[in-house]
Amino acid sequence: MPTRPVRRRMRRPWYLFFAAISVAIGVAMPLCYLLVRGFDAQASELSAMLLRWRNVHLLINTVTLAAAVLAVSSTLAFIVAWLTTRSDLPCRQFWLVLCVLPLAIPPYLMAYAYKGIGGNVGTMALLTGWPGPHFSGFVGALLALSLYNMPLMLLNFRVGIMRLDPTLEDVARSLGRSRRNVLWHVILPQLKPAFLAGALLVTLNVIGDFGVVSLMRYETFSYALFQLYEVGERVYAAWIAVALLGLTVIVLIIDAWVLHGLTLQGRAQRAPKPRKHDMGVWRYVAMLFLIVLILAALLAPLSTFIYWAIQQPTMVADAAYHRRELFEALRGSLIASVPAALLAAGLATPVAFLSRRYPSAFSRSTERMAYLGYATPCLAFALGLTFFALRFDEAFGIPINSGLYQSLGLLVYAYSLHYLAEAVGPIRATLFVATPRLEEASRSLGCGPLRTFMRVTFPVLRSGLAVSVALVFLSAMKELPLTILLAPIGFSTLAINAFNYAQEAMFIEAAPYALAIVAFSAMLVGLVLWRGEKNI
Amino acid sequence: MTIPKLHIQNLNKRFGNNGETVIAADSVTFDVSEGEVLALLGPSGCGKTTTLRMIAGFEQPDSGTIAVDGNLFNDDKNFIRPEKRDIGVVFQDLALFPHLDVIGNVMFGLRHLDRSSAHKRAMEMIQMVGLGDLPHRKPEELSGGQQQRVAVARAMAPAPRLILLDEPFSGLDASLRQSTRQDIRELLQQRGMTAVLVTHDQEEALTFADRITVMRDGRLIQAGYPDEVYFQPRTAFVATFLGQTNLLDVQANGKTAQSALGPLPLNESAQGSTVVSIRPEHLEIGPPHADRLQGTVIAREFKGHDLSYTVLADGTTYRIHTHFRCTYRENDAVSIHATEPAVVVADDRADTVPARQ
Repeated sequence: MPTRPVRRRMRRPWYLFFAAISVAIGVAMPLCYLLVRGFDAQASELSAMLLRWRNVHLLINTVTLAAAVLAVSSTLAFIVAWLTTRSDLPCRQFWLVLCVLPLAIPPYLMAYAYKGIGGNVGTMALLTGWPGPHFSGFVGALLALSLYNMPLMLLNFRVGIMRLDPTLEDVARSLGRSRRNVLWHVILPQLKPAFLAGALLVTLNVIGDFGVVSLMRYETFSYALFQLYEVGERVYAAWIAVALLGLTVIVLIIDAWVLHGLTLQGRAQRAPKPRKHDMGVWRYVAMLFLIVLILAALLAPLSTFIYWAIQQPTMVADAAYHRRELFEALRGSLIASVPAALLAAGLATPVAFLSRRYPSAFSRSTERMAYLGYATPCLAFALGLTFFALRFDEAFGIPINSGLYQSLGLLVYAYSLHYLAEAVGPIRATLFVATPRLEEASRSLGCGPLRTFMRVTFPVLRSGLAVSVALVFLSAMKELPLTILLAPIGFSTLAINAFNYAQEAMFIEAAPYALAIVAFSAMLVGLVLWRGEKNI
Repeated sequence: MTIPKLHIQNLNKRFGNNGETVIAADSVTFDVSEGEVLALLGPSGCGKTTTLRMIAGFEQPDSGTIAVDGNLFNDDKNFIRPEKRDIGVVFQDLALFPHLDVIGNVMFGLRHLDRSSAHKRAMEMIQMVGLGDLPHRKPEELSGGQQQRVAVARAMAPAPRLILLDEPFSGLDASLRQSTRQDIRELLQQRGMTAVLVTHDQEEALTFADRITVMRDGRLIQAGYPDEVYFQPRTAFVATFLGQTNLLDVQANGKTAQSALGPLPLNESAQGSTVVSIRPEHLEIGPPHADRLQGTVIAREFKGHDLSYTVLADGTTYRIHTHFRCTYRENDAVSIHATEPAVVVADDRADTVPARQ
């Protein structure tokens, strides 16, 4: 009897393997180039660079800011989450939506808004005659970043609170614990996973933030990196980028370490609906709190943008020029974001497919690479790509500015790899619905592999793909640090112009860009919320 | 000699998993004749589903042959792909296409027909499974039992040569399972369909199939008609897997044996140390009796239509099913004796691999 070697169930197709491995290399390579560039320096130079008090100062500033933002945003978010799920406050959904909407104002616009509100030439001074506080430095950065990140924590806390089993609270009360005691010993411990999920996002956002710290002139790693890059100190910039990466890795490790051993929460059956706490007179305090928060996080920035935008035609000399410039920037944003979105969805499909259908150490690590690309601070990633592009052009003897370096392709590539994780999510979720049995059912009903893909796999994946494309597109439209570092010379986007004008304190000129970005971001927020409901 | 509908010969399949080899099929050989429903019964991990997937063409056997109507599906050179096999499959998780409605799902396999006749045929099938008024529902809008019917209608619509059912009733709750099972059984009979059912539920196999094959660790242990396999199990494993039983170590001498229960008639001759199986309903419980095995009732389960007793005698527990009027209580002294010949079984208890649930 002829025997054949042991066969595996199904071998992963080579093209999936190839696509996934190129993703992994795409993320890893720029990061490696940072180190390559960092070691370009002489040993003496190196030690002079690394052993500076300034580095310690930068580290302390970065960590302090991250911790402060996390503390402020999660405190605010927990209160809002509690009020909108467990209190008897009227119109809870309404408050909730308004508290999530600040997510549509990217942090650098939040910073711009607060610079535009305060100070001697701010809207507050113009409208009331009272100059109000001048927002800058640590306080300014803390304010802008906390208001932006609060909704992220809010969404996580809300899901966490809704999943709590209210009977546990009843049990604790029946065992003689007070309401406050239940909060500390029953509720908060159960919300730990929700907090950690949000905290990871917030911390990475702060570490990677570039726009806010630049506008507020608060010296963190990102801020220093950009300054060094601008003045051509590239080796030092590379080392700062390495430090940023190191910090990111530490955050990821701490998160994994704390999360390890935490059992996933979730109630097995549908528990009785949680009772709403009677707020009594505290209701008015709570409403006042929500009103102030929404005013600060949403209404003040928005009305500032709108106010400046309305002023623009009368206050700017060459209105027609500015209109043309706006359209030029919009076009720039579109021609970078659309291909990036398509490329990201295209790269995400094999990654998601491999991890669902051919689970292995390899497929898990490619998926992790996608998430690593997302977690990597944009400036560090962009700097690595720049070094790689320069080296690439040099190696092939391509004259500067006609090769990879400063090309639109590089920007598109950077967007798609950075936002790959956003694209993997929805495709993965739809693949959960589409079991391999579906494809087998189609085969047994007489359809070949190609026809099966067209008639079954693709239609099932379609909704996920559409969501992936939309997510990446809308995210790329508002992206700042990658764009600033990688955009070709003379190439403008909405984000670049908004930032540059805000940087120069030209608030009137920046306003239309800010409004356009907010419009796209609002769509993104809508999409994210819709996804949460539809489970895609 | 007539050609069997499905002929499987010497099928072998191993999976390599991190150096650990799992034998999913070890010289599996069986036939299914036209119009017959065969059940592949066994604990999870015994290779029954893999065997089914090899018949469908989703897995390639390492060696051995599969033929339907005398047409070879695979040999050393050729491998007929699943879409060319003309075999219907009903999956455990049903795998209804979520983007298609009921009629779309049923029409999926009718590509060889033109649209209007495909539609007509699909409607016929949907009516046949009793969903005639819901052709435009999406799978998610159907109940579990309805989804089940759609899956069956979809598999049967192209009039396949053979239909494979992979634990198709396991997703349904107990009450629905029985009625759905009955309906689908009738449907198969009406159409004269040949079917292979994979299940780990012995009751399902006994009631649904014309013939049963019991599998364990990739090997066929016993095949036969349900009553045959139930009453004449060939091994200790088959006896315990199909219902409850008492396994006794006895000293056989021809058609009788010496046992704790006294002299015991056997169903076939044996010599020396032997293991026999006696079903609980073939033991009888009575008042203490000097010539019989004496023991004490340690548990009594009242189940309405009958009663189960657990009796401890000489350090061994016996399971006994009796008439509902039996009045013994816990701690009562009783005697037990066999009412039917004991069945000689091969002792494969030591081979037991922990079930991988």
